[in-house]
Amino acid sequence: MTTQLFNLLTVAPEAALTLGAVLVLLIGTSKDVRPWTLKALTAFTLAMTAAALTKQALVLPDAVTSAGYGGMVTLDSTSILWVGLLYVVAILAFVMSWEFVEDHQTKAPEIVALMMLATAGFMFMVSAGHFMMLFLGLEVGSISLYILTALGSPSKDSDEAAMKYFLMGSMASAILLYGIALIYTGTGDLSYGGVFNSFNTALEAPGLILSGPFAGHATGVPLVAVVGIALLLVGLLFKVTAAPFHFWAPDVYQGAPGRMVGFIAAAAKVAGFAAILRMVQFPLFPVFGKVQTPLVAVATVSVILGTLYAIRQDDVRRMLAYSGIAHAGFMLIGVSVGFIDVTTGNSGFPGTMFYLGTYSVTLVLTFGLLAVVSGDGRASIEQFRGLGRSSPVLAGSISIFMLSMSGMPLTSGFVGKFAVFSTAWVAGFHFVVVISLVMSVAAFFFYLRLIVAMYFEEGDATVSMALNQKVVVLAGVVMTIFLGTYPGPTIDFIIEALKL
Amino acid sequence: MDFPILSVLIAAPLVAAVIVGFLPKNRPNLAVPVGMALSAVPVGLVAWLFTAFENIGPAQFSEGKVLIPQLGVWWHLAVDGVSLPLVLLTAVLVPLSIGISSRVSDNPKLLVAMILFLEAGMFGVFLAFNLILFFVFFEAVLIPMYFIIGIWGSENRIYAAIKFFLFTAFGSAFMLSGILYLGAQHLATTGFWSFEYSDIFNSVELSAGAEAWLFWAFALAFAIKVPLFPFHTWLPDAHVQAPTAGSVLLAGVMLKLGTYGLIRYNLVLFPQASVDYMGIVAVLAVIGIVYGAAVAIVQPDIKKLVAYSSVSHLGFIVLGIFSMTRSGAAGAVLQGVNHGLITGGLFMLVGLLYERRHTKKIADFGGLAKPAPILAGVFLFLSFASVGLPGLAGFPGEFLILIGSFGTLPWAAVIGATGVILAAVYLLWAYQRVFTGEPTVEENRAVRDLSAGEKLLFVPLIVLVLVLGLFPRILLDKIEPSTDAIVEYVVSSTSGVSE
Amino acid sequence: MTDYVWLIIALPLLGAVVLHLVGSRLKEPLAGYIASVMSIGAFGVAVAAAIPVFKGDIGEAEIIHLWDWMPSLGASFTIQWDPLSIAMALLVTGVGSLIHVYSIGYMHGDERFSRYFTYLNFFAASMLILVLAGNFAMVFLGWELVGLSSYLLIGFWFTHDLPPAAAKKAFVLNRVGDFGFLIALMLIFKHFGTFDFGVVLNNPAAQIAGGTATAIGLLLLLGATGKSAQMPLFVWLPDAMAGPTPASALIHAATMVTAGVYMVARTAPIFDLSTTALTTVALVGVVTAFIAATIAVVQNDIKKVLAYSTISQLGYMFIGVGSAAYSAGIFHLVTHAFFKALLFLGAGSVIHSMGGEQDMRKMGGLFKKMKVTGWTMAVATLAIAGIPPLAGFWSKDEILAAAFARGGVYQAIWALGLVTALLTAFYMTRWFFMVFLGEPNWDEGIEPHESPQSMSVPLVILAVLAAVGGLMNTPFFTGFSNFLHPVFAAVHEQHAPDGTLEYLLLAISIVVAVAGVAAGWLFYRGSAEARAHLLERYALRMNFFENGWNINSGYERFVVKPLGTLAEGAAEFDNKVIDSAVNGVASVVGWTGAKLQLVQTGFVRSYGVGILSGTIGLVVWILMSRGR
Repeated sequence: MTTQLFNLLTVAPEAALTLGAVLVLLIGTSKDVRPWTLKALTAFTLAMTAAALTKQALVLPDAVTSAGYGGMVTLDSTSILWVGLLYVVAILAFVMSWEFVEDHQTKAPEIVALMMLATAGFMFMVSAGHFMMLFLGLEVGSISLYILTALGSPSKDSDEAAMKYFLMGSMASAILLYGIALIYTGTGDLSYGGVFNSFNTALEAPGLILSGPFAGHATGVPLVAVVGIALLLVGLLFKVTAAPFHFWAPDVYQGAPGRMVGFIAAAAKVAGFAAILRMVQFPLFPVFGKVQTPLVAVATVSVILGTLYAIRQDDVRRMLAYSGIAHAGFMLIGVSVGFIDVTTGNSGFPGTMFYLGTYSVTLVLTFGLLAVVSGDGRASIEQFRGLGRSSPVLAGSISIFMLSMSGMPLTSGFVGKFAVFSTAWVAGFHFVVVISLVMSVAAFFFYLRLIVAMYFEEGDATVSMALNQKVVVLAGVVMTIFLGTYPGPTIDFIIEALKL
Repeated sequence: MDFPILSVLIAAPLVAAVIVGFLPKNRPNLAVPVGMALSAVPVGLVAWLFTAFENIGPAQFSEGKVLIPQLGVWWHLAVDGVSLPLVLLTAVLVPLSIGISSRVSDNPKLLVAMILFLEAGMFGVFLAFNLILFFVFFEAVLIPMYFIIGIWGSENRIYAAIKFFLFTAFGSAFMLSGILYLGAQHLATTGFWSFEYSDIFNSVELSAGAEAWLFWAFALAFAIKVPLFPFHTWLPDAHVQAPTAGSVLLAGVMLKLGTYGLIRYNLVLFPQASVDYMGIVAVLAVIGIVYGAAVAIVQPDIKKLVAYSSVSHLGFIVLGIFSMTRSGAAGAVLQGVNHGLITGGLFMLVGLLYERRHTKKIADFGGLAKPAPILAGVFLFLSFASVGLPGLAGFPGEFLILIGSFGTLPWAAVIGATGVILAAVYLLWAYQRVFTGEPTVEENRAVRDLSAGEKLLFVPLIVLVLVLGLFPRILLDKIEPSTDAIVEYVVSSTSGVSE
Repeated sequence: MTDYVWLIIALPLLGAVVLHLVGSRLKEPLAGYIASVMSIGAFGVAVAAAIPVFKGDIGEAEIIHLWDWMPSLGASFTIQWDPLSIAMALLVTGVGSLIHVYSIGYMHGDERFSRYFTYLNFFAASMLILVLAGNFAMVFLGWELVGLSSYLLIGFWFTHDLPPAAAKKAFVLNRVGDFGFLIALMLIFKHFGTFDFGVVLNNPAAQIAGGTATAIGLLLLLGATGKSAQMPLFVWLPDAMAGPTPASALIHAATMVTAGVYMVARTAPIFDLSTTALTTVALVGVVTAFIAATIAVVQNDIKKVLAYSTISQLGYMFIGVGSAAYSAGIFHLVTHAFFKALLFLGAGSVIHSMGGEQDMRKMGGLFKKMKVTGWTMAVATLAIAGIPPLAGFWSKDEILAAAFARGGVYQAIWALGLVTALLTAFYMTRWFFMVFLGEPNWDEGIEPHESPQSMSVPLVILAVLAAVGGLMNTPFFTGFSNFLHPVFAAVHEQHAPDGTLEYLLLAISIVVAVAGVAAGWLFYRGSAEARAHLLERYALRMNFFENGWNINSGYERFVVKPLGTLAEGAAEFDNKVIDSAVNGVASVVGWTGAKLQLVQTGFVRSYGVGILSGTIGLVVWILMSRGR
């Protein structure tokens, strides 16, 4: 049933974006590109992508899980969710950062194209059915992000940030690639399905290791593959800024052009987590038991470190970077609950995905709003003093997003945490949950600091938002509240998609 | 019950808040009157609820709609004899606290809106019959109060606001883990998630150890809210910094969220643990009574004095709850209402004094009874009510509590009774220093007496204080069936209550 | 058939409410008239309702249930209409009415005239609640309300410094007593399950053992010592003289301070079970009586003397009830109300005419100027001194006789009581001499004059009562105790001995009284120089007595100061320890956050190290982990 047409459909959104990027670059070669041409083209591309996505979604019912291009790309309900989420992040990023594009006449086409390419790359990464595809997508996305970090910067900061990001990133990619290689050595296959099967069969007939440090381990899975799995995870954990692979995040978030950070941060997070979840759900499912405890450890460390770090930050973007580390930890708790516990039927996925979706949207919008206040330079907390009076809409939205991130009830952030923690509790991570709860209380301190600055402290900061920004932000606020008060259907939808 | 009265009750203040939010920018002084008018709607609803309420134990007017089916989270509201009086109290205090804010110049619209949000949240806490829903409201009320303290508070407001927020949130973290545990237990026993109060009550079996730590997890959250010694230090800061409206609602209602939780959740869900630890809690309560009063005596700041008096009074309430006696529990609920009215009124007066003299230092006052006899009279009236003078609202609750707790914890009752002496000391001494004597300072001679509008604010308080002092039955008849049932259940289902 | 007695409480209460609401708009005397009418009306109702009881149509107590207060505690608004409450009600409303009328003249020209009468009516209502109550909870209600009205009246002149302080002192010390009362109530409820007199006082022996009875009795006594100004809590009463004199007459002489005595008599069935409690009552009484008398001897403030004399006389009443001679105690309560109210009103009339002067050393020779006051005071002085056939003699003698008859320690009590009687006769004579006889020592510009009729008429009426009131109950005619008898029928009441012993005792007290008066007369008739010289010699001891045995300063040093320090300490602790601990936690978290920054160097190389070590750690862990 993998007809040509269908093959095309599996990559339709990515294709649309890539084509759009190419077109943008082509017209970019001409001397003076009028902003509106660029705008129109971007809008058109995004519309096409949306159309492609819808088509995929419509076809889906009679194609449960389908692989295109020899299994390189898969198209299933889950992948559509991921791609869709990336698409939402992208579109929000475009709206929130359009001024940035316009401000850099000369570089505008590149910026737009890179954003499209990054999105496309990450889409490939999350819908990959094969480790090579995963790697390629990851690289396309990451490299675009490196460049975006440097492009059109007002200060040296962003160059330094870009350089750090690039070095760290390539190191991580190397590790990841090496992991893939080792997995291939161990299993002789790189398609998810193949790896899954070989792990399964290996586990069917467990051989006993007689000598060496791992003597007595009843593992059919060859050690090389296990090491490969570990390295693979490291590469992905790097992308989601989980401790101790987080070091780059604060510098990059702080250094990159303020109006770009939202996209840079959110896209990588979504892609990374989507990839991890896909690994856990599919190829690594048989051996998940091996990685579960380490994952929990990483999660806990991330939560603690991220929170404690963030408390002492005066630069808001840096503070959010650290809080992002904590959030990565929270989501990893959900991940480490596993795709499904065969005995109890307990799954960490719906909670995690709900969390990821709401968090990433909140993140990109928040960074957008911060940029409205502080532009591309540093965003120090003083710049927000008195905004509560001068620009209530902006201040109010920031406050609500902050409260959502802090997990305050009545916001989507609470539901996400609640869903993750409840499943984690059933999985037996009681101690971890309690620590996380205490940490999320400590986190209130720095989330509230922004509110303090905007409402409680005297100041004469005034800003104005563009209409389109207002629209998307308010939409985000409504979503935050709605998903915080009536999340049932959404969670159902996710469970549907996961076929749990 | 077709008409979802309780949902409407929660919705009404929210709608009101939105309306206030949309008042014309150029007419800021419109906010307070409109807010008061709108906050009369909940009063009416509660009045109707009060009349329709049947004096029976179990919860009434129950209404439910599933919110998160996968996790057994329901929008489930109901009201019983424990919550009804507190709902009434909330509905009464909110219009007054809005009215007392009439002189707020800085963005009154937002203040009134916040107060109304707070009202909705507090209704929610009292009416929720689903643990997660309860927790949601329990946390949500922090936000408006945080803003009220932080925006309209006095010089040290930010410190106070953050302290208040973090301290209370810290407690709730442990409660939430407890709630998760209960839900998970329900999943384990029945195979599906549910945080429904009744489900957990009926089908969750707890091991002794689990019950013990759950008890403390919940108790910590509530003890901080109450606040119970030694978790009380956020209270004086919050009160002194908060604007009058904030103090009124904080002392009047928010402290009762804690005592309410102790009755509704600790006693009922963890009866054995409650009985096992009633001694420890009683000790803390009694320390709170004496200690709070002692500290109040020497406070140089009149507002802090009233704040510490709350610590003392709330100690009585907790003592009553953990006396595991019918009169103790009934008295605790009743005293919750009375303390709300009386201390709320006292804070309103302190606020008016501050408006007139821009100081809270007792030493700066003196002889105010001469220029402002009515203000002084009301203050004295409420002081005596607070001291627990029979015939006024302060007495029946405290009396029931003492009589009840003497049955099971005689030592606690006896030590607690010293509180009635100390209360007289700190309040009457404060009155003497603030109001009597010849006004020496010029500002004191010029102090304005209550204006007609201000008088009107105190009329309902005074009337209620008298009525509840002479006819506490009006509430007791509604309270007792529920509290009796709870105490009955606790005592019968456990061992160790020695009456 | 007498269910309208609630009017006795309602009328003064109504008066208080009306005056409170509209008083400020009333012309001066009108408020006084309203209040007086209400009080007199209450008296009328009381009389009307008492008649059937006098006639004996009503056997035992009649219970009028008004409404439930705290049903689960058996606490309701219930009036018990029996001889004891009738006696008290008649006394309160009767003497009260006279003092209301008197006040119209006395408070003339005070800017808060109507407010004064509001309080006076309110007090009357409160006191009537106390004495008519049908259960302990309602007694406690009245008990506290009289405390409140006492607070309001003592502190009536609030712009001065002394009255508010005195008012607070009175209320707080009363509260100390109430603490005991409260615990007694807890015990009662624990053992009887209700507060209803009908249940508790009807053969309590069935419910409680002697030990509990003793506990309840002593705790009630603690309450009584607060309200009735007995050892060790009496120090508030002398200060209470800072209030308007008529109020002192009504509250701090005639009625409120006797509440403790009433309380003991009312709970006689409980005291009946515990000789310990009963004896303690008597001992407290006699000690107080003696100490107060010694202090009264050396006071120079016209009201202070009377205050201490009141304390002393209350001591007698405690001896009476403490000797189980309940009706005798109540009898002295009544007669004392007559002559002590009279004395205070007389003192008031003197102060009034001396323009507020209260120091007796600046008086003297007023008899010529103020005939009515002078004569009535003479009667009162002889009455309290215990000169037959005036009221004081009969009641005091009956108490002492009963104490003597009880034997044992009670005979010591009787002896000390006699000494006190001597002192009483002495200091009252001294008082009369210093004020009315001898040379005038007025400050210049003071023109003493007789007070208006509204004041002198009550004086006369009270003088008559003080003269003949005692005849209600004499060894020859025991009408009063017969009347009260139903109340104490169930308890072992101590009666005065009969026959020769009785007359012997009578004789002794007459001798003592006469001796006292004579001593005073001899001492104060002589020249002032001689007196001064004599006082010179005993100055030190005099100071001791003048300072009331230094009890006040003792409290100051050993109770007030330490408690203050304790409270300060608690506040300090709250600040320095508890709050610091809380903030400490926060700062520790912050500090950790700061320290962690050190890891975040900003150098790629160190980041690389971090990532690598993390990688290695993860790899090893995954390899080691036994899960599949």
